[in-house]
Amino acid sequence: MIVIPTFFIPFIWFSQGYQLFGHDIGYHFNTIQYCSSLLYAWNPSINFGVDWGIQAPKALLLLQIPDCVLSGFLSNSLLIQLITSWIWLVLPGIGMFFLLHGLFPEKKYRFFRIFSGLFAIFNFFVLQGWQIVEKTKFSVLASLPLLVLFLYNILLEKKINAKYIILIALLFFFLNGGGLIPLFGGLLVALTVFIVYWLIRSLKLGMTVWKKLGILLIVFVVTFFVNAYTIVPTIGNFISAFQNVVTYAGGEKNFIAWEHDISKNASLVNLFRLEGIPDWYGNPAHPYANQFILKRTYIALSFIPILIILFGALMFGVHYENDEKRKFFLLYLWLLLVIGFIVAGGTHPPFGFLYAFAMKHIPGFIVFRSSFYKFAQVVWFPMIILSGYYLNLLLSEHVSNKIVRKIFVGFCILVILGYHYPFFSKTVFQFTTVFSTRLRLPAYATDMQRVIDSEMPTYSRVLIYPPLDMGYIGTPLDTYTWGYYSLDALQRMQTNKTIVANDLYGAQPLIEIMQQALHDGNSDDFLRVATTSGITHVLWRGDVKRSEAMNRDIPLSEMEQRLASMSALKMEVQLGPWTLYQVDGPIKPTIYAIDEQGTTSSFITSFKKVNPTLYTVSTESTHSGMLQLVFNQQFNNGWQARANTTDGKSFILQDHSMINGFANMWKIDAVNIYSITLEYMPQRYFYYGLVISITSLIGIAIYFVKTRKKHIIRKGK
Amino acid sequence: MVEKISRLSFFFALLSILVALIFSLLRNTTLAEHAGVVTYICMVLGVVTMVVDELRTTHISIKEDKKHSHKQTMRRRSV
Repeated sequence: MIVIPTFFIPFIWFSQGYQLFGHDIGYHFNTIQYCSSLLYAWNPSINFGVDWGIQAPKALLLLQIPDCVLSGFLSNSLLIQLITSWIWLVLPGIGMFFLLHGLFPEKKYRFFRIFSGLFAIFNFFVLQGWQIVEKTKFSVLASLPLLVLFLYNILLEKKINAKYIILIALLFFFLNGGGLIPLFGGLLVALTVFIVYWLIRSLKLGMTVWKKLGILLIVFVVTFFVNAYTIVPTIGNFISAFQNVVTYAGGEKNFIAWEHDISKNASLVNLFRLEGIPDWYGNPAHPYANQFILKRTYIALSFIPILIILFGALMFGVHYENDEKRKFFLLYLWLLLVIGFIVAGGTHPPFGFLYAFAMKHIPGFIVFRSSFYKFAQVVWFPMIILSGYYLNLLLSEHVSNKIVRKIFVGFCILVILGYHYPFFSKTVFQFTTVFSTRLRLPAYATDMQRVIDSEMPTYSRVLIYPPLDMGYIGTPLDTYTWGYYSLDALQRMQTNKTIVANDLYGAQPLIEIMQQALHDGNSDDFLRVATTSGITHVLWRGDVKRSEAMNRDIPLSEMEQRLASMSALKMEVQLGPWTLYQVDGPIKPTIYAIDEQGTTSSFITSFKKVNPTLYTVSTESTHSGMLQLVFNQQFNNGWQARANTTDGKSFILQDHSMINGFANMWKIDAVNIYSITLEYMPQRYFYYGLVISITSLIGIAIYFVKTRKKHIIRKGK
Repeated sequence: MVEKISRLSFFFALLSILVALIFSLLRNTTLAEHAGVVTYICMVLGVVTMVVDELRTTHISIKEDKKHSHKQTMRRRSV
């Protein structure tokens, strides 16, 4: 019943060949290539290489499973996106339905299950996520009700069923929030409130809690083991990464200022109305928010859920239920709700000082900036359930006529769907008058992707030009006249070849020097940097949508003319407004050696890329003297060079530093060395974690097979 | 008594949210926010008293259950 209205939505969103990409969507047209890149801790296709363990947690792999599986059967990317979008659309509702069916299975609660299940799918907190297809958020939204159901069964049932311990571990294996810790803020609050309230209640009632606490510890350990493939690398990278992230975004002060901005509309009254969503306010171009903020009908309608809840509490409280466990559940929801209002409100008065204090003084709490996005779940979750519960009670207690009851049920469902009408609209993805995340990729972009993928060598590096635009939000953005807008360059969503852009993935000064040289039409300056940094191609995109600030520069036509007249570039292919140029110069290979005079040495005979984190280099063992081994990937302390000598010894090269403004360099005394191995060491965290995860999953499979067998034998007897 | 306080708190919470609704319809955001704060305070009071009441009544019923089962055991033994 709850999935029926969702069938139509993907067909509306994906009509006329439109797809969802751009902004923060992170949709990759090359799904399988993207998934395979997630297996490694280093991604060489972004600028000069980036730590992919920090930028893309391994848990993202599991969220990509539907896309990857469908890519194996279907070639139509639009159809794949349509199917996967529907799955993500219904998941939060399915999770909610299972929770309510587990706790309220009786027929008299049927309306409650349908109402809250639908409300879990159709609400504005979810819709806000759809503008950027936040799979990570949807996975957390779907996992919370199931977590509560499993915890309920573990902590409140007398007999402990090991099945629920495993189910919690598997829940976070599949619905893992992409391994992004801040997204679990709401879930952590919900979990803490559950356990603390259960503990207080149990102690007050004189029950023994140690056994159950031990079970909780086992749940934690099993979940850790099953998800070790992503947790181990995250822990491995956490300390250094956290420091980098804080510095990169401008430090704590900027985070707190950001938080103030995010929570400025998260007042209590707005949260009561299930509103306060930051991008709704002060945005006249928002596709639907202004209707709900300004029109009186919608204002009145927004108060209905809280009115139902308060009226229900006044009329019935929790004493209507005879079942002690259900009373526990309802009181838990109430407690979660009153705490949820404080955390989701962030730094907004009257309780904002608490959040500001936590950000300043609790180590690590800073990751929960954007309070609304991280904690609003703990307002929506209890509100959705309690409104459904009390509405169901009002209906069952005060409406006895079956026909009237059916009409009322239909009316309530229509109100939910009608009030959230933007779900059925195509314009929901339009976030400014120019930019949207519902787009059609121009044919020339697809054709250029084919050229880059099929005709360019694997080591190619493509510099995109004109530069990404700093004029919109002070951060480089890739923007096109046909509506694309994203922090990520479009070409990275299309191909696994290396795309170099002036974004935040490092080596910006170097990239800016090259782009300035292109701007000035200066071939010598360009070649000097491009050849050492391995830039093989330049991609001109004549369809960029420039900001006002960038428009003050010379016109695009003049920029293109200058590019075409440069001796350092040879035009390779022109497709619509996009032109691919080949760099005409002696491009340095990925790995080479230079002597003390700076001339290229013959020491390296060949090298092989085993995978993005491992290279083997063959060398001339008869060579002697001091050399510099240059590895043209962005400098990172995680890279390690191990030399193997002809007399069977092996040692790590210690003198590791940066060269050419970005690359790794090791000083090496090239005596008797016949090979060198370059390895990105953080990859090992993933391997260790993967071994633990696979072993745990095998253990779980064995457990299930054994218990199943026992069950069959018992049945036979 | 505790249950009465709880009901009364929810009654005032309901009243103040209605006031917040009226101010929202009148587009007076400041007063609507103030009414929202009052609603929240009443709601917290209502929830806390509801929890206290629930813990108290569950405790009593468990005690009574224990007494009852104890009596039954004694009776069985005497038989």
